[in-house]
Amino acid sequence: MKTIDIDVKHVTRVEGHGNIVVNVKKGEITRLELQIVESPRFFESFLRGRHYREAPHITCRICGICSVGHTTASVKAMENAMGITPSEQTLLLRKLMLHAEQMQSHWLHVFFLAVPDFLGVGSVIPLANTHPEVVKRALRMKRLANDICCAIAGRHIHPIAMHVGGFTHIPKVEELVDLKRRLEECRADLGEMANLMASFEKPDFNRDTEYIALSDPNKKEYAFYDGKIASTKTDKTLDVDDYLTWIIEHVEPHSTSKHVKTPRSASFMVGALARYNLNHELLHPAAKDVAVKLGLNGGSTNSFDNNTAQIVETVHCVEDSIEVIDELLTRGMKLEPLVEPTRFGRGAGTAEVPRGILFHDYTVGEDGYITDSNLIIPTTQNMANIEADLRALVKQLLETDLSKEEITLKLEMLVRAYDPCISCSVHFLNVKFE
Amino acid sequence: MRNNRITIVGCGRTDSGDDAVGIRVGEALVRCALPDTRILLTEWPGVDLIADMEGVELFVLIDAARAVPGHPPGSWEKIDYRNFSGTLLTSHHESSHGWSIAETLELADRLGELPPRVWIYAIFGARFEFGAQPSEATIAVVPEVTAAIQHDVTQFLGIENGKLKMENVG
Repeated sequence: MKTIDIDVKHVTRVEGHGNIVVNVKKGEITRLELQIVESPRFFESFLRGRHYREAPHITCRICGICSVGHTTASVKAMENAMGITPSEQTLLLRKLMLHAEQMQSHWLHVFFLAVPDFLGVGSVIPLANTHPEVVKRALRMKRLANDICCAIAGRHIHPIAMHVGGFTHIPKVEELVDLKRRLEECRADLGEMANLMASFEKPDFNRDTEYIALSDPNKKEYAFYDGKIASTKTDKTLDVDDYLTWIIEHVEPHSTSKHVKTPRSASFMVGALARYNLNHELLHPAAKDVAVKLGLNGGSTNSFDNNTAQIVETVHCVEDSIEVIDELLTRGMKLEPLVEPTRFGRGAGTAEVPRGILFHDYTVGEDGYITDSNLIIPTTQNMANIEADLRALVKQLLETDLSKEEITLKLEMLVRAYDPCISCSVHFLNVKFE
Repeated sequence: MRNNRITIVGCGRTDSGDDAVGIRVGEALVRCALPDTRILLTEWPGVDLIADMEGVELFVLIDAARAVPGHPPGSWEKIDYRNFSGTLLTSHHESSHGWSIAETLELADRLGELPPRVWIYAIFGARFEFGAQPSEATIAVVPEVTAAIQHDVTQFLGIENGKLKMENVG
């Protein structure tokens, strides 16, 4: 009967700061918490009283990794609230941006934050010595994804040309042609990275879980940009405007992030694995091939598979981006005026961002100013599930001969597998003179 | 696209007090129209900067630093990174959000991507809270740091009396 106290202050290689606290006495878990210790950020409060056009540009500042995703959900919510139908060109450009964000975020997470665990190094810094080709390839791939966002919306994070009703800038034809060439070249890099992933041994861990993601009711697209809310625990789907029926928030004392449950489950998972489990049949054939190579099956209940699903998704994003660029080039692009509101009221908008389904919900008054807002980010939705997974994994690991340090590493790896985005921080230089 | 011989990066956040000073100096340098020089402004001096180092002879970073004894708010220091005996403190690789300039430079160095010369202009400030205005002392030093960088870069390029020595321009 083991007695173990684990207190990981700031789980490393995640976005933001959280602690893992586990107390086990004589084989029984007496306390298990994923503590979120960062301050609440009150974006919902200071959106109130701001003009609707400001919302995408304010909310994109919630995150430097998912800024395209926040902008997408924000413009969609506003367009829903105000009866705006964006043009086909706008939809194509937004889908391309969202693909690029999935790529840069997934590659950053998998190759800079998660892979060091599997290659037995502490971070990407020593990885540059042991596996420089992995780091150089990842940098090259990430740069491509950034350049797509930059060409379409003016900069690689915090897009400035993406607005409610359309774009105020469009990419040049030669930029799209060059990006398509680089995407085609990226296939080789991605293939090498998939081979690397195939060599890793994933922890053997399974727990029955509800997965929630957007799903295309017409079964035509692997849903990133649009769809209905779907779950692996029911055949019913939900309109986005009704998301609060399923997404039920509550407060836990040890966390400044809320926890979320559904009417069916005390916790659920969103993100790449949820999308894969619900929509894998709609992936590009090349992505399906990589999934087979990586041993990823629809219906996985191993949260460590989330990283595998992230790589599979990026294969899909590369291939679909090439097709979207082809369509844009065939159609021809022109700078279009922003579509103006036809009414004012309440509307919700979603997008599948790298870490899962993101909800923005606004009410806009007749004067065009926001009177109410609600934002639910994917990591918030995953918090309760991470804790439930940790609890199950601790029980499983207590049955083994692993040391406290080895158990701690496995728990950290589990949290990292979710790619949690806890907060953003200020960057400044700390210098110590000697 | 070929990089210029020199890349200058102004780092910081304009909504976080003195952290804005690197951006302010970078903006001022844009107006100087330095030859063969690319100027970037960034809130996140992360791994993406490594691509901007390719083929560059001189890489210049401008960033705010926390004031320490001997370096009060409004003072500044030019650091020759390759010959620096002090320490650029890192975030201990805790978070990609907390990824610092120090880690970017260290990673570039290990990958063999660090340019031959790397200068860091550290401007010391005291106020970094979200929503704060930059302090008067820190903002007051922007013209001085801008002039110093302009001087150092033109010397590097071989410009004398405002006239470019063409043999030194690649």
